[in-house]
Amino acid sequence: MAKYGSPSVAVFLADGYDLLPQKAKGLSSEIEATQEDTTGLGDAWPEHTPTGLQIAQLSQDEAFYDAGTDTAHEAFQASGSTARVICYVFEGNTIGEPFVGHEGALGVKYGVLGKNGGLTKAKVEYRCSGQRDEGVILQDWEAKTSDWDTTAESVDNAASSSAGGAGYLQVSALSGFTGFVGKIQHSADDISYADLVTFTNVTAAPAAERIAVSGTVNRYLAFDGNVSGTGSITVFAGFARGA
Amino acid sequence: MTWLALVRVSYPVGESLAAVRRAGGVSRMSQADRASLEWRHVEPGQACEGLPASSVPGLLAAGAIVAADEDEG
Repeated sequence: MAKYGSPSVAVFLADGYDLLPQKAKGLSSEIEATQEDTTGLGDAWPEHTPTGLQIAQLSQDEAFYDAGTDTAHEAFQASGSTARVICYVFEGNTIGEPFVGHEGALGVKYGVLGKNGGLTKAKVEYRCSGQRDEGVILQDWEAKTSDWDTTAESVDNAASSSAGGAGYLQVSALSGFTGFVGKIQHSADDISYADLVTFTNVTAAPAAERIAVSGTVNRYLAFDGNVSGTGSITVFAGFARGA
Repeated sequence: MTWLALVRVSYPVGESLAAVRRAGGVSRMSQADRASLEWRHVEPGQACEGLPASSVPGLLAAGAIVAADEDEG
């Protein structure tokens, strides 16, 4: 059984904001299958019945407070009603490794904690109003300076799937470029590739997007990045197949 | 049969296609071999000239291409 340590939590992005520099002490990702109390008269024991609804909860243990640009504080000090696209990994930042994506995550609790004799901390708890997806990394989080694609490292699912899925894109930094269009491509034979997901043109960072697709997703998946102008961009992308 | 792209479709052509087939796929080629591949990129609405016949079923299943006469119908 493979085991992973804290260094493998190598990506933690919310709406393009990189949350790792704040050095959170922990990251907890939980799914709750909601139940309703269906205990009735005559029952000797409580009874709970699954409703079929799942709720995803995400919490980030104390991190160091930093009010700089593009930091967690800048991201979460605003209204907690802002829905966010969040991506993180527990098994390293490598193409083909798994990632978790959330859409609609609301920062319901954000607190700054000052302590006598200690460094000021901050913590966030999220309740996700939407989907939680588990997928694979197609573009590891790294900086690029020109057009590229990952067909050389396409992720092989061994077979196509028919339940659609969701593509995630996180852009944590962008300088110089006047635009960036990221695409997820798929192929049945690792020879011909077709566009599966086309993300919105990105002109500034931080930025993030989740796009759902339906129908057939072919066996091989890759990422294609197209930039306009000259500069640098830091990108993370992944895809979660529907179940 | 003429195939029309419904989304952007990319595929190797000519000797590049043969090279990819010999390797068993793009991801199985060396970086140097991939760098020398000649690709055809077809935009939506354009004809996929030289599309590998073996790729047609997968692209059809994905809704990426359509037969030209179907599209005109």
